[in-house]
Amino acid sequence: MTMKMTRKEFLKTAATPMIIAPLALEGLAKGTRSPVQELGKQKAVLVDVRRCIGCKGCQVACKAWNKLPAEQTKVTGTEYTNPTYFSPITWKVVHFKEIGEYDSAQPGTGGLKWRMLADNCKHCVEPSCVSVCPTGALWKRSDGPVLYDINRCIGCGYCEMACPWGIPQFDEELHSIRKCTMCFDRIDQGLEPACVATCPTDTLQFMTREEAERKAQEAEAEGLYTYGYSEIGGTSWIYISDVPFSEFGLPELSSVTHKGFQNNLLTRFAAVGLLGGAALLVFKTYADRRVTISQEGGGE
Amino acid sequence: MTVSELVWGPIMAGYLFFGGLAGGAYVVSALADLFKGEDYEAMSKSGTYVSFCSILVGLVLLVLDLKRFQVAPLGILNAYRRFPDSILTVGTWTITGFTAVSLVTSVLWLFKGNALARKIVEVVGILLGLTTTAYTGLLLAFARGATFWASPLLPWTFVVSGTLTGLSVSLFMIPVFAVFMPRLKPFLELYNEKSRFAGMVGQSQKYVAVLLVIELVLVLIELATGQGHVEVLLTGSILSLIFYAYLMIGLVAPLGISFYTTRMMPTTKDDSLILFSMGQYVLILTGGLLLRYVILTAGQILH
Repeated sequence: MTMKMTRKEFLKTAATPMIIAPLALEGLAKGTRSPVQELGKQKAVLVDVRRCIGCKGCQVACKAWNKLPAEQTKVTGTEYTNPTYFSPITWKVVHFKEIGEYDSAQPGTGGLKWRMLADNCKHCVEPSCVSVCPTGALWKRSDGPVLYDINRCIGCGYCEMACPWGIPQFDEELHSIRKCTMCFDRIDQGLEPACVATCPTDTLQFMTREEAERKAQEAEAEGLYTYGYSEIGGTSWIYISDVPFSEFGLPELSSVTHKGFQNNLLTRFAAVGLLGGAALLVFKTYADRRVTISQEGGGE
Repeated sequence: MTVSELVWGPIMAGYLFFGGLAGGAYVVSALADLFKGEDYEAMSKSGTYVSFCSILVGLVLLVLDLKRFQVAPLGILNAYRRFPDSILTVGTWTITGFTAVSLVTSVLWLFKGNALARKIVEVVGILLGLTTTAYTGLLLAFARGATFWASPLLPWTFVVSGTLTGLSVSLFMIPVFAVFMPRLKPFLELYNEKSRFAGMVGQSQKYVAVLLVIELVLVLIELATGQGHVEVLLTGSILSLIFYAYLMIGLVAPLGISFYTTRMMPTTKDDSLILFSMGQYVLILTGGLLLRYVILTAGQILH
């Protein structure tokens, strides 16, 4: 029996792979992007927490430049920070903290401090998010910014889990993660990031990373606290403060990069395996010997 | 981060569970075929079939959990790009290889293929199966943002749990295949010979007990040395209730059954041994799922 196929059916059958193949290739055709792109000297933003007056100009500038809509927020009642955390449309959060206690007997002695910290993606020198991203959707430009391609993100959420600060946030409408881009489009035009350009007190200063490192070293020599200078292998957002950063909820991190962290964990994983295997072997030999002895005893 | 804002929820826990189960079932069934031969044919076959089905279920769950899949399904192919830089890409390649090997082994069993070829494939499959179960733990351990997961013991816990659940499901499915697919050989034959099946189940009890003890020790060490606020796991939350349920259902009760069946039960009671063991396997499988959920959620809450 022969099967007859109409011309319409033939065209339909033949066209299917023609439609599917380009779609399949589309995902692969974008080429492999190097995780670090060559572009000029590494830039950084130095944040001097002591200067911040909490005007939130940086937050507004970030929203304005990146065309991010406002969102409904809630007053938590426990702190002044609002919004309290990042979202796909809030890339910068200004933490408000009351530190210490007011001494009414000696007013003006500085027992109580108000400190504000403008927080956002730290644009790590060796970013964990870039390291774990399976698709190359995230990458690090050698001049600082950690960027992402929304068309290549598959929404696995691994970058959200790998980032020590939980910065990347998945946008349900765009179907991709989103986060601060360090205003790379402004940097490309020779401008400062929008938040830096807006800051009225020079809390945020745009400079090369070398310069920021030097200032951080000077601050450490003065007994001040720094954050981002060495943490997780260094970041492009370096903070200076007269109060510990744990007050702002920033985690204490070692200077080990993500690659070092992974290698360290793999080594310990292998060591546990070897030790465990050896222990099991000893246990098995002992158990077998006991069985042999009891059998020999039973035989006698 | 609160439970309602979890990046990885129950679907991901299911993926980790089925991935580990698939790897473990394959390793156990392949080892039984390589070292025990025809006596354990039913178990080898059962484990291989379950392994292939489990990895497929795991992959479906994984794809469902990808938040961009519905708008760009083929974008998932991008996950093959960053070998060996991203552990997730390494895992994607490993699971792809494991799925293929598991399928080939299943086909070779189903259509009575060449035994030597099957055994060669099984050697490769054991390596891929072990890597798959370890990967489910390494994936979490490499997520630096969740300090609770950053332990070299976590991947080993998943390897042990995967092997344990794999062994349990391989034996549990023998009567299931016998009842629901009686034409599929040799399940019905083995099941009808109660004493032979009971012997197999009895033999496996010592392995089950050893694996349960190792898993319990690993979990206790992780709790004692764990970074982050592990007290959330121990007191005052729904998660701590689930954690205790895991300890009781997944470890303590099955250990009790192992002890009873190997030390106290008369050797002549085949039916009771099979019944107790079947119940134990169900408990172990439930415990395996609870373990994945508890660890996954704890890591995100203790972010």
